Amino acid sequence: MKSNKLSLRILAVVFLMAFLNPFQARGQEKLVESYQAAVWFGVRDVNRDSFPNTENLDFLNYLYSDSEMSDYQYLGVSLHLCLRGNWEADIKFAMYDDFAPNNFSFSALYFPFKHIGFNAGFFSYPQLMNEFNMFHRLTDAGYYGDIDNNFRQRYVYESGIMAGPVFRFDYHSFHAFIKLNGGMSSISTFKEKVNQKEINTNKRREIRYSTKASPAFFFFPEAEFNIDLYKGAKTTVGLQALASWYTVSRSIDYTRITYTWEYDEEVNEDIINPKHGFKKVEASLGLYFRW
Amino acid sequence: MKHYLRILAIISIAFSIRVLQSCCSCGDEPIKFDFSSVIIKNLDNSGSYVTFTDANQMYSSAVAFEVSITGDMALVGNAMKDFSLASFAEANACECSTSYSPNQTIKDISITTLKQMSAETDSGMVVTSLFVTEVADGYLYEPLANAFERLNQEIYSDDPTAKLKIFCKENILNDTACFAVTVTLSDNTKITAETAKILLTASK
Repeated sequence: MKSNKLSLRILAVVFLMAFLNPFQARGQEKLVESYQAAVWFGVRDVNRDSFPNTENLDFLNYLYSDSEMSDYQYLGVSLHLCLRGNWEADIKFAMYDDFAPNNFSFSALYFPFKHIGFNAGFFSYPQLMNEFNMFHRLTDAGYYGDIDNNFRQRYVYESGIMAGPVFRFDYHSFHAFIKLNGGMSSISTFKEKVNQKEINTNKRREIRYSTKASPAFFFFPEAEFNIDLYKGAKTTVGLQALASWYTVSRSIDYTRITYTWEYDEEVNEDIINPKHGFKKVEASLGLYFRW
Repeated sequence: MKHYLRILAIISIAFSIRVLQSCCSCGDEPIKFDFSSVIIKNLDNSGSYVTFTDANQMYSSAVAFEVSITGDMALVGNAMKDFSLASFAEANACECSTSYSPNQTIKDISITTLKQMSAETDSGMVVTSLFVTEVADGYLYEPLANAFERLNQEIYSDDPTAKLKIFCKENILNDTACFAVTVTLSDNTKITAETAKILLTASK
């Protein structure tokens, strides 16, 4: 929720600044030489390792992944600023069907050469984690694995900082960027609770999970292709296509406290889970306006 | 124009009556009562949620009861007539909820088994420590003594009764179970009730 509010504020400020153009100093060279705003529709497919159940709940087994269709669809807006002195800035926001702009990435690009530059930035996007309580329902024989009968679902946010080389190609109306990003990311920490009752007895148990930060190195190449469809005196309209691939290997480790009968009867454990391979492929198509 | 005035007058009268009706005041004074009896109901805690049951049958590890420490309704009724007949009538007219204030507090609850529970726990032994009750703000249990604070209220709404669900932590190694629950009040009065004779089925 906090992340949503923050994203909305950043989004509002960025677009306000862009349209009011406060960087244009009087009598001096423009700080922002050109703008490119875009709207696009994208799909995201997630592929993660799924391991057999062990004695410990592995939350990464419950990251949402659908083998039959793309896992997420989103609507995005972006702003690309070409700044003075070979600098560029790229700001992207996207939202799922809940219309919360909680997918975002910011990056700064510097081009010391015509076709080669450097990129650095950060990103964050949410993923669904569904029915992790099924672990307890399946493995805790003799117990009602989770007395909460609701569909248990939560968002986890993957956030990271990235940097890498950028290659740019321009040929008439065709423009392309290829970014070879790498960096470090982590999944947001969270707390969950599972209440259990032994079948045919009075015995009750409460299991509390508190996850730890899960920093891991990732590789994240991106490609962006733009084709100018209409060129006016000051404005250009074109078609934009983006594709990216993201790969990381990480585990979600946590502290587990198990209370049995009463809250002063507790067992505290630190659980280290195996690393899961995680891959994300994204593709999007949209329109851009450059001025 | 006359029609409008008449309709307006009728509506105004109707609303005025409703306003006057809503102005009646409920008596602030709660009805005083003495705790006088203990009523015990059987609970079925074999499933994921605890429910009431009329059957005198439980699993050996799921023995549970609801204990109600209550004021005698007849005595409460007399107290209401003697003490504040007018305010009671007024309260009824206003559809006020009735509140009750006990003359004593609950000092202790003691449970004695009337049947042998295991080789170590014979008939006649006090087994209070083998019973727990649900915590107010969580899923698990707590000792009975921890519940006295929330059990002792200054005011009981609608019903002069303090209720407590009790759960046995032991697996009872017998075919039957029966308990006596004794409540000690602040004026050292003791009130006792016995559970029904419970037929036990082995839990595992």
